[in-house]
Amino acid sequence: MLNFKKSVLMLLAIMVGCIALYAAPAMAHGEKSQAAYLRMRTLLWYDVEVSTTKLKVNEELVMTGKFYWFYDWPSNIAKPEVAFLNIGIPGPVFIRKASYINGVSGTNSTRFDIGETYEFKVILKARRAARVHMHALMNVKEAGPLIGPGRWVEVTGDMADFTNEVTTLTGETIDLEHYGLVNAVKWHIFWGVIAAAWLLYWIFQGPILIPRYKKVKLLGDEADDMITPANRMVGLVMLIGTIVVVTWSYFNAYAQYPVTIPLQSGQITIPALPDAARGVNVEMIDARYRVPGRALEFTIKVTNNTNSPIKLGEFTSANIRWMNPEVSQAEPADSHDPVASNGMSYEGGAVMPGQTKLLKATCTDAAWETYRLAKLIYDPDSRFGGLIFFFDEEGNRSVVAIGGPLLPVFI
Amino acid sequence: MSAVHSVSAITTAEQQHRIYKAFDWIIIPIVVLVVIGAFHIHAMLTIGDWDFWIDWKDRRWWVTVTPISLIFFPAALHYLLWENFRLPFGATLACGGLLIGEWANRIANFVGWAYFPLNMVVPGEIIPMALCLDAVLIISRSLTITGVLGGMLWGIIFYPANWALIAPFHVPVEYNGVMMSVADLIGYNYVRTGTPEYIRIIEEGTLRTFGEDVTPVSAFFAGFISVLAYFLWLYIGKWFSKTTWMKRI
Amino acid sequence: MLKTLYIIVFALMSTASWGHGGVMNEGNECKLRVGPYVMNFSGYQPENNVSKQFCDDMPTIGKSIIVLDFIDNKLRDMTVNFRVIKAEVAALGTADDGKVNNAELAQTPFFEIPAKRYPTGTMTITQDFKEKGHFVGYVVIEGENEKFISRFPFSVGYPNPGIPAGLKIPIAVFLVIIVIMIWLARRKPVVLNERKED
Repeated sequence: MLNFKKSVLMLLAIMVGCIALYAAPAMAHGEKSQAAYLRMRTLLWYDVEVSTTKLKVNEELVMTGKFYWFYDWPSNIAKPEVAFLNIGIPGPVFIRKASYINGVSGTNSTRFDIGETYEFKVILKARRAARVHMHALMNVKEAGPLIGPGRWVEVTGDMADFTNEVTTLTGETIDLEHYGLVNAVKWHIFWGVIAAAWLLYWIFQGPILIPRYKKVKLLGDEADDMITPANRMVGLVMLIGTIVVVTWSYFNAYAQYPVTIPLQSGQITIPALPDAARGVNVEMIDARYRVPGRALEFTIKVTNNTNSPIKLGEFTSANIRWMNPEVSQAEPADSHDPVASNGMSYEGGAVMPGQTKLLKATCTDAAWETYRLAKLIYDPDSRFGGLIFFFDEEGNRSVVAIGGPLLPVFI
Repeated sequence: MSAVHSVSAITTAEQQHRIYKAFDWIIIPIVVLVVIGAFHIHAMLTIGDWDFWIDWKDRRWWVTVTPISLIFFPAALHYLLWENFRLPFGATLACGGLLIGEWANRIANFVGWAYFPLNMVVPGEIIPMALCLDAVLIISRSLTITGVLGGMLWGIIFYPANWALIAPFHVPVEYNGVMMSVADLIGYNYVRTGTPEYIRIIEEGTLRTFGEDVTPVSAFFAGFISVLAYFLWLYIGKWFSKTTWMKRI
Repeated sequence: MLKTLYIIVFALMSTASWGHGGVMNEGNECKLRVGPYVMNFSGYQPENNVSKQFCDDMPTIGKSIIVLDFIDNKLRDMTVNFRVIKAEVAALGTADDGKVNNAELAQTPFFEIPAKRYPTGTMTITQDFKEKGHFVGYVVIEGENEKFISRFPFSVGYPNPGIPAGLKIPIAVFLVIIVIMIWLARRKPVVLNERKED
C-alpha cells in the first residue's frame, strides 16, 4: 500500500513508453510505410496529372494517368482478380462524379491482367473546403491499397452550397446529400418514442429494482403473478400495434416506391491498352544498389525494333521519377512530388534501329533513403522493378518494364 | 468494530422507499450506459459496415446478420431482468441504448469528423423487433416461448420494419451508362478510401436459386438462428447474473 | 378460431393461381388461356410513372399498353381478334368470369383490333382509358378449321395493390404469433395452490 502511487506512476510510465515505441514505426505515413518491393513490383503509375490544384466547392477536377501491372508480381501478394480504382482522400472532400478505365465506367469492381497497361480518368467534384494530399489509389482484394502519386489540392468555398443532384429512372430529381433522410429520421423518432414510453411505463412504477427483486425471491415459483393482466394487455396492444404499423409502413413504402432494384454488385473485365513498348526489347543484365552513394546502377541489353533511334529518358518506380534531362525533363508538381529532375544518366548513347546494345544507367537521389526504397535489400524478396522510358527523335515514347535481383554494394 | 453491524439505519417504511428510489436512480443510469457501450462495441464488431452504410443494406447478408447478432444482448438482459426482477423490457433497453450509441457515433464521427452525408449512415431500425420480443415475454411470461416465438418474430420483422427507411434508396438510376440503385450511387459518389466497392459483402451466395424472393428466405433463416442464439445467450445471461455473493438485501 | 387461422394462412401462402376468367396469374407469370393455347398477358402504363407490369387489372386511367406474347407457336399461324366491351360490374372471381357470353360478343365493342395474323408472336394493343370502369376483354383466335374464344373481365382505375410477394409469409407468421399471444393473454392467471391458501 505504501508505494501505491509510485506503482501507478511506474505502470503509467511503462505504458507510455510502450505506446511511444510501438507508435514509432507507424510514423512513416501512407505510401512510404509500405514495403519497398511491394511499391516497386505491383502497380506502377505514370503520366498522372490533375487538371487543377485550386478549386471552389461544386467545381470539378479531373485526374488522369496510366498504370501498369508489373509482370513479376510478388508471390505473397494477391493478384488483381478483383480491384477497384479509388481516390485516397480523408473522407468525401470530393465526390466521385465518374471514373473510367480505358473509357469503361469504373462504378463496378474490375479484373485486371498482370503485365498490362491501362489508362484511367477520374472526375471529382469539390464538396467541402480543405487542403488535402490526394492520391490515385487502386484497391486490390486481399492485397489492400496500392497507392499512386499524390498531389496537394486546395478547395475553397462553403459546403452548404454543395449539391449532388441526379435523376432517377422513375423521373424524379433528387439531391443525394439529403435524399431520404427526413423519412428515416421520422421513423427513428417514432419508434424511439414508443420505446421510451415502454421503458418509462415500467420505470415509473415506483422503485423497481430492490422491491421487485425481494418479491421475486419471496414468491419463488409464483413470481410470474407479479405481472398483472393489465400489464399483459399493454404488452398485447404493443405487439399488435407494432406488427400493424410495420406492415402498414411496408405497404406504404411499396406503394410509394413500386419500382426498386436490389443493390448492384457485378464485376467486369476491361481489355488492356496496346503494348506500350512499341517494339523495344530490354533484358536485364545486372543491377546493384550503391548504399553510400544512394544510387541504383543497372546494365540492360536493349534491342531497338522501331525505325527511329531511341534514347533512355526516365526510370520510374514506386511513384518516384528519375529524369535524364538531356532526353526528358520534368519538375516536381509540388513539395511532396518526388521527381529527381537530374537523377538519371546513362552510358551508351542512342540505340539505332535494328541495333542491340548494352546501356549502363545510374539513378541517384536521396529519395532512395527518404522514401525508404533502399530498405529493399532487407526485404524478404529483394528484387526490384520499375519502368524505363525510351524516346525517339520525334519524341515518341516506348515504356518497358524492367526488374530483377538487386545486389547491395556497401563500399 | 463493536456491535454496529446488525443495526440498520433505516427505521421507517418511508425511509426505505427513499433508499430504494435512490438505488434505482444510481443503478439504472449506470446499467443504461454500460449497455450502450458494450452493445455498441458488439454491434460494430459483428455487424459493422452492414449497419454503417446504406449501400451495404442488402436483401441477404444484412437481413441475416443483423437480427442474429443483435439478439445476444436482449437475450442476456431478458434473463437478468426477468429472472431477478420480472421486468420485461430487456430487449427494448438494449436496442434503444444501442440506437442512442449508434446515432451519437454516426453524427459525431461519420458526419462530424469524416463529413459523410447523414443519409448514407443512418442506422438500421431495430426498435420494432425489440418491442415484439418484450411483448411476447410479458404476454407469455415464459422465456422459452419468448425464445421460440419471439425469436422467430424478431428475425422476420426486421426487413419489413426497415423497408420504409431504405425503399427510397433502392430506386434505380442510370449513371454513366450503368444502372445502379440510389444506394449504390451514394456509395460510389462519396469516396471511401478504405472501403472499395468489392469489399461489400452483399447479394452473394446460392440463395439465388430461390428466384426473386430471397428476402423472406433470409429473414426466416435469421429468425431460426435467432431462436437458437436466444437460448445460448439466456445461459450467458444466467452466468452473468449470479447473485452468489449477495445473501440478503 | 383455429379454422379461421388455417384459412388465413393458406390464403396467404397459396401463390398457385388466381385470376379472372381466361387470365390467370401463375406465380410470376400472367397467362391468358384461349382454348388449348396459352399466351402471356402483360399490361403496362408508361405515363403512370410506375413502369410495372400488370395482370389484367389496370390500376389507373390513361394510356395503357397490353402485350400478348404467344407461348404456343401454332398461334402465329392463326388470326387473333381482340375486343373490349364495357361492363357494369367488376370481375366476380368465379368460374363464370370465363364463360363466353354471345350477347356480349354481339355488342359494339368499346374498341376492337380486327382479326390479323401476328407472325412474330407478339401482339401489342395500345389504348387510352379516359375514365375508370369495368370492362370485358375477348380474344378470338381462328385457324383453318378451329376457333376459340377467351373471355376475361377486368377493371381500370381501381388500384388493387395486393400483398407484395416479400410480405406474404411474414404476414402469415405475424398472424399466427398474434393468435397464439391472444390465446396466452386470455388465459386465466395461475390459481394459487393449496399450500399458499392454507
